Amino acid sequence: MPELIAKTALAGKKPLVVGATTLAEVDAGAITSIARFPGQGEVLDNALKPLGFSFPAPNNFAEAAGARLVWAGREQAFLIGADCPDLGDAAAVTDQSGGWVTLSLTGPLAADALMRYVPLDLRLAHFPVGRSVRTPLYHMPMLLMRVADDGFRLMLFRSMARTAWHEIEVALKTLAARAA
Amino acid sequence: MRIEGKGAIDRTKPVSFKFDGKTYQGFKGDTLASALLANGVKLLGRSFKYHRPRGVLTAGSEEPNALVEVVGATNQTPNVRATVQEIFEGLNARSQNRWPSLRFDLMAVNDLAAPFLSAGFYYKTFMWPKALWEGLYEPIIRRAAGLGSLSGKHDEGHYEKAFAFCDVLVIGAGPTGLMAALTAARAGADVILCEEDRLLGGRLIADDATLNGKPAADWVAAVEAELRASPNVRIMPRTTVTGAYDGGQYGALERVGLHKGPRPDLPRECFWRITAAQTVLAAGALERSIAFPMNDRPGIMLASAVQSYLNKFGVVPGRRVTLFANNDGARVVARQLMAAGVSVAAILDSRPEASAVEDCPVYLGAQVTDTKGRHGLRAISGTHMGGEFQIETDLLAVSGGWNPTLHITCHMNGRPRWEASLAAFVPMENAVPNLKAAGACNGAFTTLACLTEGADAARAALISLGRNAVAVDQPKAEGMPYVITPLWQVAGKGRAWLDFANDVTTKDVKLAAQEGYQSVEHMKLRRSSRPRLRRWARGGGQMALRRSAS
Amino acid sequence: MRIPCPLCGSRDRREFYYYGSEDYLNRPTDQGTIEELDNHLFLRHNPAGITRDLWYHETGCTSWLIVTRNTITHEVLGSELVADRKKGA
Repeated sequence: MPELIAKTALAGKKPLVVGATTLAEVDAGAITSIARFPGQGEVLDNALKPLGFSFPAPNNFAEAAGARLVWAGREQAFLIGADCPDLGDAAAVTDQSGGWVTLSLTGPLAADALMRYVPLDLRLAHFPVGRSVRTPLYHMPMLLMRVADDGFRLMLFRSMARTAWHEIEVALKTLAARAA
Repeated sequence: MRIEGKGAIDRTKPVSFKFDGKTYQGFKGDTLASALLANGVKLLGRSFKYHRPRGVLTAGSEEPNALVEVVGATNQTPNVRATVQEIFEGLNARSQNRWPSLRFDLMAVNDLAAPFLSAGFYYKTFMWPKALWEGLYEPIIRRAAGLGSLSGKHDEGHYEKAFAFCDVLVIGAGPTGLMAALTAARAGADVILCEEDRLLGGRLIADDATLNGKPAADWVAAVEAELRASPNVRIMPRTTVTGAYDGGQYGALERVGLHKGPRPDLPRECFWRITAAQTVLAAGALERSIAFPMNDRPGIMLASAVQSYLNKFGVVPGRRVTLFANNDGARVVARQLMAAGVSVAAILDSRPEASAVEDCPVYLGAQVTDTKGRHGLRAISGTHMGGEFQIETDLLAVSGGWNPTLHITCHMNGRPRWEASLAAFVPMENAVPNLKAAGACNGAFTTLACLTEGADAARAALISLGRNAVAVDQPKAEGMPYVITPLWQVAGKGRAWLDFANDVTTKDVKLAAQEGYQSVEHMKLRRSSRPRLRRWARGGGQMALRRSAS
Repeated sequence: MRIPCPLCGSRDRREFYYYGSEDYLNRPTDQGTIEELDNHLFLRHNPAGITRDLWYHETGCTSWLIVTRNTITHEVLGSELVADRKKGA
């Protein structure tokens, strides 16, 4: 079997820098959806323990050894950046590595730019580091994480990568023009 | 005419702009209206139906007359209020609803035919015979109808949308709003302060009021500085809150680039969706006119507008001013004009019992019964307790009292309540959940009451949020009471306009009432039948006609 | 309009998809009459007051919710997960 070369959705796209804010694509590595089966909480947590995780509470994510386990919906979490161990019958496991584009948006304009499209209060006090939500970016379903005081990680469907990039680019340039 | 030393404009920064092809000069901080008035331009538009010459009536967003087209490189915006549009280098505006020119408008023939063109005329006359509708009536009506025009090209302008959240939304930054924002901000609440104007202060600036014995502008500047330094406060100038929606959500339209020339990436406007836990409505009040015969000529303005132009822009749009009022507010305007060296011909007070002591002639029990001057006011005549008067005057400042700007409280079924002592409607309490009206929009018409109500409303909001209020010093303000005796209409032969924007006179309203359209909602639709007809003609009106004919 | 999601918290209405009355959850059994099926499919109350509807948190956590609200005041009174309701039943 020939080895296929995995490419990210925006492979080769240069980061966009507006002032001190940067939009860039991130190669998140393996993304595995873990959908917990009813009554399997304890079994699943035990299976995740070697990675340093337990199943995350809604709207939260955890980090351990360079990997993240991100709440991604009801009874669902994404394991990002680590190979998924055998979870037995505790959860439905699907490989979604190729299905998503991951963007990093970092800098002083990041929250304001996102709030052009995201109907959520993203100010730090209301959306602290460690929070992950499912919410739309304009009309595109998104998994949004706050990874730093001024840094976000955005996951969108791969097919919407260029549209999402474009929208954020417009918002950043608009904010810069307002400040000028 | 500019008055030296007056106005919040920057006289070191002249700005050139065009109106109807001619280049004029104003200053940074001028609106199109103030700059044109400063240049002696009084005729700014033609009325909707009768194509009567019209000038500036107000100094704010309530302007019905001075509507212009703003022509940009990529877009043409009709029906822009000259009283809201700020001038910038290269602004190109032109008058609308006239042909071939503003001074000589052939459609003004409608004015001569006015006896035949009462409200509802189009419905009654053009219904029959139906064969003539498509070929004859409709094209003529279409040509004649409407105010501004579009370029027909795609609008290349950039428009933005955004979300915002706060604990306390304060709508309006006059005395009430500033006091509310300050009280909420000091308690640590997240505050958004929306102000329609470019400047904070509202009527404090326009009235050149006094607080703590000093110009109110000083207090406004100090409060603004404190709010700007607070990380929990967001000040949004040039932002009009347009609606209240369920769940504490408000729509607000921000003028981002409309007061600047086109710049790359800069949006023209931004529509905000603001979610607020608590809201203080501090939208102020609007002055109303009096329906006296021929009350629509250029040079007849609201007294508060004359005051705004004097104190905010250093402009007096006349050389010999007369004031006509049914309340005490106009006296202050007269005194300020005289102090600025402007000649005041007379104060016409409709109240027979009012004080006659001023530094100018005062006519009591006075009513204006006619005005003269087609393109600009020249003279007025009328009656008073001692007989009749005729006055040569080129600026008539009218005050029929004030109406609270309570519109937002009506957005969710709230019905205003009539308050006879104010001769005005005031908002119903709790009309919008978690919103409290305060200050002039709540019928508190003195600066003192506005400051107090603003602070009280903010404290109530803080209690609802579970926060402790921190003491805020209230500046000392004069508490001159609002004294008014209603005067709605002056009897006389000529037409008296009620609704300048739709060219509706008192006669039209009477006719509508006679025909059974007594409910306010019905009357409103009835009397402004022309815009409805246009929509109707565009969207399937012909089919409706056929149906009604068959 | 804001809708509280039991999982995600208070969210903007645009994240949700409206399906219809809670009645859709009460499907008649295959032993039921044709009238019951007809009622289930086509007949709905139109209350002036409290109503319970199904909403789908489409661009959020993708849960189905039962939202209780008041059609007169437009007040949204609460929400619960359809999944939890089934668990309890």
